[in-house]
Amino acid sequence: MATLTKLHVCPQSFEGPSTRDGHLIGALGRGVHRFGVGVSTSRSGLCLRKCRSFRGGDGGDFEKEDNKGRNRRNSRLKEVKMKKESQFWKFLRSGVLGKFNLLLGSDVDQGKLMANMEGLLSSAAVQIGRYIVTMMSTGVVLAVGFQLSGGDSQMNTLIWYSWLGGVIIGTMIGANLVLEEHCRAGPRNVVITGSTRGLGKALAREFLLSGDRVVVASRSPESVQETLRELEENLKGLMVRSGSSNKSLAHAKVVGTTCNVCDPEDVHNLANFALNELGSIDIWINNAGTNKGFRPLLQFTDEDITQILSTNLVGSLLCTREAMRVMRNQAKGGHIFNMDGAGSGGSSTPLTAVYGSTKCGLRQLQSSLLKECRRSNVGVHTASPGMVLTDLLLSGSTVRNKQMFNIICELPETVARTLVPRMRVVKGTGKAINYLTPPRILLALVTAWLRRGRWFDEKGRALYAAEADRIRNWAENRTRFSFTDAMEMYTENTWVSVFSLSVVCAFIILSTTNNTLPGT
Amino acid sequence: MASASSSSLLFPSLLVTHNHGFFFSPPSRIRLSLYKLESFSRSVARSRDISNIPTNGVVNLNSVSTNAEESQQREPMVPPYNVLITGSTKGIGYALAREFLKAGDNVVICSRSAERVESSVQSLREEFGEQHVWGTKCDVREGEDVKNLVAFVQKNLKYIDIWINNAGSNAYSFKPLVEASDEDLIEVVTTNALGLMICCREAIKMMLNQPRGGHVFNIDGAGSDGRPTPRFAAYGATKRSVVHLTKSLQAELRMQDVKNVVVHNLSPGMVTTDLLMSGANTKQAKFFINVLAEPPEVVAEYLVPNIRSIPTNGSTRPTYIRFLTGLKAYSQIFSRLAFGARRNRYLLED
Repeated sequence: MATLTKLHVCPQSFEGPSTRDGHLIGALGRGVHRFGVGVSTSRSGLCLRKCRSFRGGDGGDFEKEDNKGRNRRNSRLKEVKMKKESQFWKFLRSGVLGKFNLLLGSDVDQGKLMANMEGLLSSAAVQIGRYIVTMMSTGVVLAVGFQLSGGDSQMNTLIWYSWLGGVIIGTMIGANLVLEEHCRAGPRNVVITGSTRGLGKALAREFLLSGDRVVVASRSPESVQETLRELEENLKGLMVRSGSSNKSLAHAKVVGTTCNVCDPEDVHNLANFALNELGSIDIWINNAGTNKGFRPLLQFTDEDITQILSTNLVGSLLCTREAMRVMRNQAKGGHIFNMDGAGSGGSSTPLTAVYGSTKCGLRQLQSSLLKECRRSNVGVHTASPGMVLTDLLLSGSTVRNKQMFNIICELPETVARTLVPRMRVVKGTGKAINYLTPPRILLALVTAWLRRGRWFDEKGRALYAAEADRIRNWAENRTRFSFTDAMEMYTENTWVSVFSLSVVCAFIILSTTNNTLPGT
Repeated sequence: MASASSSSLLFPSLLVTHNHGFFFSPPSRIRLSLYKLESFSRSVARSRDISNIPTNGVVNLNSVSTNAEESQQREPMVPPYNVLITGSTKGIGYALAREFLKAGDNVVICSRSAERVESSVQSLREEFGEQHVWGTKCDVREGEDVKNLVAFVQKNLKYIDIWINNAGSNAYSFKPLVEASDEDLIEVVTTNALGLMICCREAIKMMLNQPRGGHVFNIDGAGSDGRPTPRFAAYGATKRSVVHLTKSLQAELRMQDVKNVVVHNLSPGMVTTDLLMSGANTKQAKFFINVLAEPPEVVAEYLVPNIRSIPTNGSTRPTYIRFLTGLKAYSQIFSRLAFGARRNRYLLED
């Protein structure tokens, strides 16, 4: 019980620094309030509410996306320190001063200093708010555990150990995240094949708006020009919206060239073009793929089969080889991504037999390349977008399929938004970056009845906006609160410790009921 | 470039164990999620199947298949069988052809090189008589060539019971992907994957209209179980896609309710053909070739009775016939390690 009282004292001690921002006090209050409600209902409710209040606290400051993430992770690291009984004020001072110094060093413009100061304080306050809520949540979980254990000293020890375990795991994951955040700095040079349509275009846009330099490539020169124009417009639009203060977009640029991935000469030229324009290649994404509709193999012509095979398999082989050749000679290496598709896992894909078998072959290629590249600095990865509403999927699909798509499909922009941050910070080799992670699948299944008319109505007509309209609302889309994103964000940290504690609690509940039940 | 040689090098799981010290890859969240995605797309695909059936082409296919099924009941498949083997002028294809001829069947051989087809037909005819062997030039990578092959068969033999897609290539080069040449990569993919797909399509198309139906066999190779194949990454990827294609085709035929045409996999294991031997330049490769590989004749002797038993029993179930099973491989490696058996069998180890 001692912990609990100590935790309850905390909010008062924070009030000093946070009064400078009225908005944040409100956020804090709201967070605490919701938190209280969450406790009274259930443990899972508690977590969800906690996420919401976090988001509520920093509502809408989109341009500080990066900064925000860093703060959150810092705070998490530091609160772990705090849990280990280290000095709170030291933490606060170092946190604030660190930020301040960083700021002074990086921005000499005195006129902006006050505005920056304000932003800094607000971010510090957000940090503190997060700290309090996280501490209280673990505190309450602990308290519930103690309550359930009923004063049994053995149980109490167990709870403490599991709590400590959770804290340690959380620290490790947090440290990892901070390191990743550090890696995130600096623009990447990205080559994406087949990037004038669908997912490739969405990926290119997302990379570009993250401040990277992107090479788009496709077979047709017109569509390359078209895409270049469009992406540049997007970039300008974002720069105008976010103002001149945003330095992350300073290096962003997009160039493009024509490239038929099944032509070795073209692929070689693409690599040279990228090297000439950008100097080096950090990330190469083999996104070009084709399917040619859904029908039995007997109805595919020679031309169709040749094209599917040469785009999916030969193209990936040639591009991977070319990218490896380039990256081997770079000091910092590079990362190659091959796109997964239906059939990658080895399950049969009737009606898309050729497409499926190429994707299955690519997975095997991936494992061979892993062995071949073991000692080099080139990372070979796969990225799995799940099911995306692009021409590849929609061509030849029926009304019935579209009903199914409602549940599990996503717009390319949504998928790209999730994949790109992970691709940018990927380390090592042999990683798989997936869109459809278990939480997402769970959510899709749970809310299946809500998603019935999501993309298509009963007659199979598309209900979603055309691409141009979607992009117009780009900024709104990017800042809009997404529940699954929040879940993803908190998966690694919070879920681990909360889960370990709840397992212990469940164990205690079970053991105590066994004891009290008569006749057992 | 030499002709499409046949053979497979199925490095078994042991290679992995030996190489890298672990056998069971640790299960991870990522794997799980991939699996989930897979099952999702599968369920979607299934619904697509159901909904697609009433559309144009499938109906025709259905009617064709039911006709064929009825006639199949009238005309059961009886020996001698008509067998077609692609890439069968050397290696395991030639050995299979000989073995089928020994069993009294009629065999059509084909290959990219007209001269080699000519000489192979000559030598086989000397041994087994004029009326059992036919041969024609066919480059499986060309749709037109394969169509001509079908026309040739229909003219000379009327029908084919067993079609074996054996033509495969590794461009006779074993090196990391980074060092592989453009031509080699394209050659491997076009022969192993494109050629096989075109052959499968033509074979199924022909067999659907045959009163006797038919069996298509696709030869797998190293990598078809999904295990890594460093130094011949492109070959492994194509062979993996072959096995997947077989699986998808089986699902498609089941979906269309076709009973008289069956697609099978055939695994010859490691066979001492040019394709395998050209990669025997590392200590590890020599060890495994000595321990696990067999000459093509031995492999064919085992495979052919197994292949022939399928039409003999009238089975319409897809099968995966393996020469080198896991148990066999393990026991051979054990006897090598324990008693030194098979040392320096084909190649001098140092």
